[in-house]
Amino acid sequence: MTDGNALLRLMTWMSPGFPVGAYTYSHGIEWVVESGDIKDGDDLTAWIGDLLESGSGRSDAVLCALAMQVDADLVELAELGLALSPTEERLLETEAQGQAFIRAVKSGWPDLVPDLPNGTVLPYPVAVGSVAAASGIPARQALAAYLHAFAANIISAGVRLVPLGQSDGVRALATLELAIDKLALWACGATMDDLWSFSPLSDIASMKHETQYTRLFRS
Amino acid sequence: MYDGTLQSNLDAPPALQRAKGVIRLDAVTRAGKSRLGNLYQSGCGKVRFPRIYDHSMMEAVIINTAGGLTGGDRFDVTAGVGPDAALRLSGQACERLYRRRDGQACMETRLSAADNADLHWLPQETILFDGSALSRRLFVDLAVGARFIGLEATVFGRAAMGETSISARFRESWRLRIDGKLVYADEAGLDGDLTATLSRATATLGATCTVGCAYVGPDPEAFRDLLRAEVPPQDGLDWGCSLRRGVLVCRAVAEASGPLRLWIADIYRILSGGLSLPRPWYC
Repeated sequence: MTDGNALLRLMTWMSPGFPVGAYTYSHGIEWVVESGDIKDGDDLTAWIGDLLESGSGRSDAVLCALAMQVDADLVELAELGLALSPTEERLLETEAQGQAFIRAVKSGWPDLVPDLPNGTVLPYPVAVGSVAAASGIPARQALAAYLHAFAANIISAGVRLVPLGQSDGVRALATLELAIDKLALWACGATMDDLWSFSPLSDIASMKHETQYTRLFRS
Repeated sequence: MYDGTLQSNLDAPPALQRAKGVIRLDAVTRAGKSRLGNLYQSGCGKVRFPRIYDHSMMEAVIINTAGGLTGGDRFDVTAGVGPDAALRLSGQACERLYRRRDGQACMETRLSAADNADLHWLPQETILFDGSALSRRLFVDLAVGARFIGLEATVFGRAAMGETSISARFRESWRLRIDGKLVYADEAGLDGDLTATLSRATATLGATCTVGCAYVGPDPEAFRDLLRAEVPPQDGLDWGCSLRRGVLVCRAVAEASGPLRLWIADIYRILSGGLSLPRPWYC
């Protein structure tokens, strides 16, 4: 695998156009916007920065990195990743995107799909990590691409929900570049002991989204 | 001239004596009633079985006679509930985590319940003082048909002692299995300047109390809807619940232990079909 190939594949897989339905998930921020805790681009940037530092961005990065290790037990990692999903909708978000990702990769690169027992569902970061590893893509690049897509997708939801101008969204992504790169680099050396987070209000937002009256998003 | 001897003494301060508490017990059914099966207690771990008149579950109260934990201390609880038996576990007091010199305190709880058994795990809040370090792990293994209510509550810092800025290390781990299959897990962690981390919008917005609760049993959807309809809103407390893979998970953050305890009492009353929290909660 050349660097050029790795870049092309990551651009394809982590593109908003890749058919995993990412645009249908807000990761709970639809409720946070409704409740008034995200009112502008700065609030949105801070929220996503927190998720990367100590929330689901961090734990997704560790799950993705662990899935890329040569001796990864994908079945066990998948079981743990799904069990760690704090709410019904966050479980749906990671489960449905993981399944859709594997399905889509199968149609383009059938050799890269991991061979797993029937019925094994990989949560999204584990699915991406396993396919990237099979492709020989370096962990740091795969993690950077995954986390960039993670941040960009929540920003895109925020731009539609708050609503914000396109330039606010671009500014948010530019501001988060450093945090994404730092987390990607750190996660390369992560072990099972690093798999933790602390974001109770983000989890509670996702719980409250379940009963939100008007909803555009599935999470 | 004393450099040689003094130096080595200073480099390696003598190891402190550490507290270790172990409790193992199980509840079984005899003559249609829940009774104590086996009991083992050692070190600073003790259990008392108060007489209860208002419900039929066996009641056990865990006591840490060391009066708190610090770096290097351990407190392990293992409890099992046999078929058709019912056991309620609580703690005599809030567990206090003191400033440590080195190492971390470990609390490990392993619970299991057989078919048609009831198990309620209701410890009071764990309070982390400035400079403390805690690893708290909860493993729950349920048979199909077992009913479970469990919670873990945490208070970061002693607001009443003016401890408004604290630094500590906290790790919490949950593993909940039904019929051997992992259905729910939690891995929470905080490290270093807790005041800064907690102040984040995704964390607690500066609130110092958190609680996580899980319910496994009949009609989880109905209980979820009941909680949403009946738990009264409180100032200084935010909470939510969600039913995922058969486990009803409730989570709250609160600015003080007052609202936190009211919330715990409310959700416990609803999930248990009308029970009050064990007496030590009100002593």
